[in-house]
Amino acid sequence: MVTHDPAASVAELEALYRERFPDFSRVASVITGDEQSGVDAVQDAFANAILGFADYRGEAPLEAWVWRIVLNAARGVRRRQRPQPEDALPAASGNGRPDDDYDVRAWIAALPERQRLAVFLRYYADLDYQSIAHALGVEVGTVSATLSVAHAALRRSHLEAQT
Amino acid sequence: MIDIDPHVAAVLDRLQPPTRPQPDWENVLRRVAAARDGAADGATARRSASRRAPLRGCVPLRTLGRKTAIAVVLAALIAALAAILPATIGRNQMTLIDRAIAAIGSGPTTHVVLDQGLGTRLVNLHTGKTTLVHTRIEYWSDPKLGTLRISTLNGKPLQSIFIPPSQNAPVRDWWRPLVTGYRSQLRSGAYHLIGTGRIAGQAIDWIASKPQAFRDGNSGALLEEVQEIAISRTTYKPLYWRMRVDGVIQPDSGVRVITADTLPREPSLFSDRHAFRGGASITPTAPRTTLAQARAAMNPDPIVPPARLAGLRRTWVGLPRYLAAPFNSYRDQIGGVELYYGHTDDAGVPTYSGSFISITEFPHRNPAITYQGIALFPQDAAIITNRTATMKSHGLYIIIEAGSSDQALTAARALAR
Repeated sequence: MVTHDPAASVAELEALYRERFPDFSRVASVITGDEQSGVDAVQDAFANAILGFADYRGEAPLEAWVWRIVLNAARGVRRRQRPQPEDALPAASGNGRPDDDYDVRAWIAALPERQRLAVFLRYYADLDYQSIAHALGVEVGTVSATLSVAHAALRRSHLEAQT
Repeated sequence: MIDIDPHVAAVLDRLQPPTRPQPDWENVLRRVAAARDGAADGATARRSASRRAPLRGCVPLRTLGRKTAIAVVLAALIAALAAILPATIGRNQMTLIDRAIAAIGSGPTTHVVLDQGLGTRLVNLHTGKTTLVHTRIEYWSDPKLGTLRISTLNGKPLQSIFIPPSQNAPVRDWWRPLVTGYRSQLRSGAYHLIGTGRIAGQAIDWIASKPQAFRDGNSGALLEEVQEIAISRTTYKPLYWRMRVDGVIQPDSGVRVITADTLPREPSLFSDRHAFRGGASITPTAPRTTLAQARAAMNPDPIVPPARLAGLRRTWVGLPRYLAAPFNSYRDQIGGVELYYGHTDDAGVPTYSGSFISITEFPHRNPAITYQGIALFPQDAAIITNRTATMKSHGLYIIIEAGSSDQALTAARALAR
């Protein structure tokens, strides 16, 4: 059942925001390429969620619906920042090891966008397949297959780099 | 679910190391206000309230008439209040989880009363009379003193079990996390908001735990379970609990939460109780046995229904599944036998799928309880819940699992003769 009381809607979104903000910002940051832009995207997304709460029909959990908005906001930020080929990945926030980071970015960038987003949502946000499916607008079975392929590719790249 | 392996996890952690940025809800509300302002002005929403563009084209007040100037100042004041108010509302507000933690209290002993409703039938196996029964389970759980579980049928106490704190085999009920770990899981951030709804007319918020992987005892498949709890928007206490396994709500897992409190420690409550003993772990395959071996090992003797039951052929006889390795050491203490009717796989192991009947007989009550936490064993009657039946017959405690409720009842009748 969906709540139509605007005050209750805002309270629900606030609770979700406070509980899951690190996960939202981590996923958004990896998409946009830096933490500040990621945080901006998350805050924009929640503002859009408040303004567009009437569009939430309760077909998916609220969190999954918000994840979809956050992904769209982050992708929007990335497109505005640096027009790039669809499958390219923006510069990572990095950890002080430029060469290694380049490899990691290349591996991730080699994945199709859906695989990349599914991996981010599964690993950084700990979402289950159902929620990932809602967030990406695909079937649950598709999520399973997508993650399996992405996981195998990343593992292969990592092992090859070590040998 | 795919478990991310350590190599890939290392790749992902290097790509975006975990950080703990501070959530700034007020900034979200400012963005909402900015977007609404923008919409009202017929302009596009400002991207960030913190990056407002300088005002352009402002008319000095002194150039306006007195009334017009007052109106402009009042309008500005109202606009300023409108911008400040939402930020004030959001500040210092407790989250749903904060309120749920406060509502459960801080006492050392957890007291939970669960109502399974009228979904259970009590069937007299001699007369066929069927009664809908009300089942409730009450728990008192203290990490230092143990867990006391009292079940009632239509208000009449049926059984109390005491599980010492040192016992490694905790209550196996679906809802055990609500009894033993609810508060700590709330505090650890294990729950998150997933939606809203109503339970018995009360507005609630659904919270869910993070998925937890486990291996299915029957199929060996790796599954994920998630607890979902309905929290009252009035009292912030749990009103309903259910389990979702791999995205599917388990039909026999849902219970109304009548009471959920924490109380001062009361050692006398836990003393002088018959203690539950023995560890248990249901495993996908159990050692085979023969009827002759089962008769030799069990006292009383097992009840052996015909080789065909409800149109199904008996295809397997074995020890109860929980007796398989590494718990074989308990075999001498508790015994029991499982008779299986229905399909087996290529290796001759029961599949527990489709049309089947599994009858597990125990000579003592405790191991039967261990097995799935079922505690109600009426004499000359069967308690039917979904596709499971429990009963007591000829001195044996019996659990029947079947492909349907009718098959479970057919087996119960055969065992009562």
